[in-house]
Amino acid sequence: MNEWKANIRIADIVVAVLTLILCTVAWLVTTTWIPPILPGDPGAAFFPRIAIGIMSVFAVLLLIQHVAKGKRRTGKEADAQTVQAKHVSIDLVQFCVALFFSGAVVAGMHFIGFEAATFAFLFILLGWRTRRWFWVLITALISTGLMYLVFVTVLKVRLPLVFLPKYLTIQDIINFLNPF
Amino acid sequence: MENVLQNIGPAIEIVLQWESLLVITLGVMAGIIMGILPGFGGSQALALMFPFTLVMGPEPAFLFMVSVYSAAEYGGSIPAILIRTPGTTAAAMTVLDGNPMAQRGDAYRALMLSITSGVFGGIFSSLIFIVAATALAWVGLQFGPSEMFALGLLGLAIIGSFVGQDPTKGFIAAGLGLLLSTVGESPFGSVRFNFDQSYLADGIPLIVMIIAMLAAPEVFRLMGLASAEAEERAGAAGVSADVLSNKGKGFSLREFTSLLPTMIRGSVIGTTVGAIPGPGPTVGTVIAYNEEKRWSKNADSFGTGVDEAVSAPESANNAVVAGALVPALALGIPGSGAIAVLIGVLVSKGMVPGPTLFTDEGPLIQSIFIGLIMCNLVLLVCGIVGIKYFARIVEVPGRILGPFVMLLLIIGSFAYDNNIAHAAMVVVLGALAFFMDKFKFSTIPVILGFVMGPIIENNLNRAMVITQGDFLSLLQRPLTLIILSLAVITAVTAYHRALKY
Repeated sequence: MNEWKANIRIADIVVAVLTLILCTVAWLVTTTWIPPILPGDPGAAFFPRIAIGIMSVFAVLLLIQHVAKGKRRTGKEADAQTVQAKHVSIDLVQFCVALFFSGAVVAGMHFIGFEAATFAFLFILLGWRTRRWFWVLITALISTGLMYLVFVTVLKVRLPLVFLPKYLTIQDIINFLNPF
Repeated sequence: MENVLQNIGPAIEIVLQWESLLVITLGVMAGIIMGILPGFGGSQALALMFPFTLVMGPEPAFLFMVSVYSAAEYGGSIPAILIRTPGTTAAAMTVLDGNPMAQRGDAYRALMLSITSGVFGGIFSSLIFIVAATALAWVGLQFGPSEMFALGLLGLAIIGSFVGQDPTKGFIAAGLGLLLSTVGESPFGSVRFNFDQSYLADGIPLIVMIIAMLAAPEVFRLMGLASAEAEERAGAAGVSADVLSNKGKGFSLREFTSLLPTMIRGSVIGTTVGAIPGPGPTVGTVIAYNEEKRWSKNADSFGTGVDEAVSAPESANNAVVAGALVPALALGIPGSGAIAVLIGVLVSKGMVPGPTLFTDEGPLIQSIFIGLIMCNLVLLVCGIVGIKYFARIVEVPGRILGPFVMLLLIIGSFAYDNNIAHAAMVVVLGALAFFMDKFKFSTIPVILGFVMGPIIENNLNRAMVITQGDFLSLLQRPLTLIILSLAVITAVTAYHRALKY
């Protein structure tokens, strides 16, 4: 296991600081928008600033909560079990692999088409996990075909296709299978 | 009562159309399957199915989604009974007695108890709300823009306070949802937060947010499942399927009648808990189980496979669905992630959830509750006929499932506007949601903030224009003041509660 562990208190402080940075940037962006012209009209920036205000106030509160908790705990640390429960653990390698392949299939759809990207995505991920390559090859082929049938021919989703026909209907398939 | 009678005819007509019956049946099947799948609760099932509603009209779309939701809540009980792994969090109480029942060879009986009690709860709560709709329609007439704005804030206060462990994190998440809802072209001038990217000019579609915040984190988790964990699950499922093949003791009509008081108690608790925004089905099932234990003569046997102990939480679980729809439809306050998706369906069809919905869309509202009754009847048939086949789904290991579900999410988000940028948004926002989940920030307030954002902003701005920019004069309206006070009390109570524990 390649788990990344962090103390929840430290993690929350980092998140609160990041939230405050995000709020500052967002506030600065709102100053570049057109000010309201009509009397009484609060303008486009009014509501986003309320949202930014809510986030900032509670981010500061989160910071204060943890600083206060930290001071109270000094000198009498909780037992090992409590410390364990106060940790965030993420299997970063597994997550990065999942994120990389998910991003790759989206990019792949754009550049090499839905069919090839879907097939490659399923073949690599399922093959890597099961090591039963022949079974995976058949599964990936059938699954790609099924998704094409459901989304392109039945639901008429205009997926970015490169190899398969874009406007195939169920009737076309029936005609192809039964030419007489 | 007059309103009910006026709308009930057209509502029944809507539900009995072949298109409605078809989508209800498909929704029930899809819901059961997704409820069984590991980690997929009602909200994830709804998020995954949302793209399919794009090709449907408002009524079939909503009927489809409530069927998915209702059936997913039931589906979660199947792995709970068979392999001690609740498919949804609400099914956790079913594990306590359902699994011991299965272990002693009565898996079939436990599943039958689960389906009949669940269907009873679903129908019971739907009937209550068909009648209650009249009163809610009257409430709708009392609301103007400032009240709607206040109501939006109350909804956020409730959700920020009660969803997740820490109200501070809940409010930060709700604020993030509000902020994200402002991305794109604004009706009040300027294109907001687009950073010169053309794909952000139209904003982030609701469907992308729902898929990314509710379904994607679970898919990332499934895709990253260690093989040992997955194999353990498959092994356990194999054993359970063997247990199921030996049908064991059935469930007679006489036994059903003797369990009626239990089902009624569970249904009343589920309906009431559902109508309160915040607690959700899990709390409903816990209360129903505990109350049943209190009422039961053989309370000591609870936990060993007692009929009442399966029946009460199952009735409550399905009764929550109709209950939860009331604050969502009548007040625009979604009580859970699943209900937020249902509100998203309404918004995507051009309807504004809130008090006026009951007056403007009477037949649609009635058709939802009548549709829920129909959906429960279909669920009963599908459940009884397909119990053996559905039970096999628990054998699917998560690591195999993950890539398929991720593909469905990507295609679903792409299908909204044939835009690959939306699929990319799902991956990016999904990764953000995964981390939020790990850092104990619930993603449900983000969704709720995102759904409520435009409603709050439009009403606030309208009210501000009416009062010539005088914010304080909004507080002179008694109803607005009451609702805003409730919002403040809710937030303060949440902090008080958090400090206590």
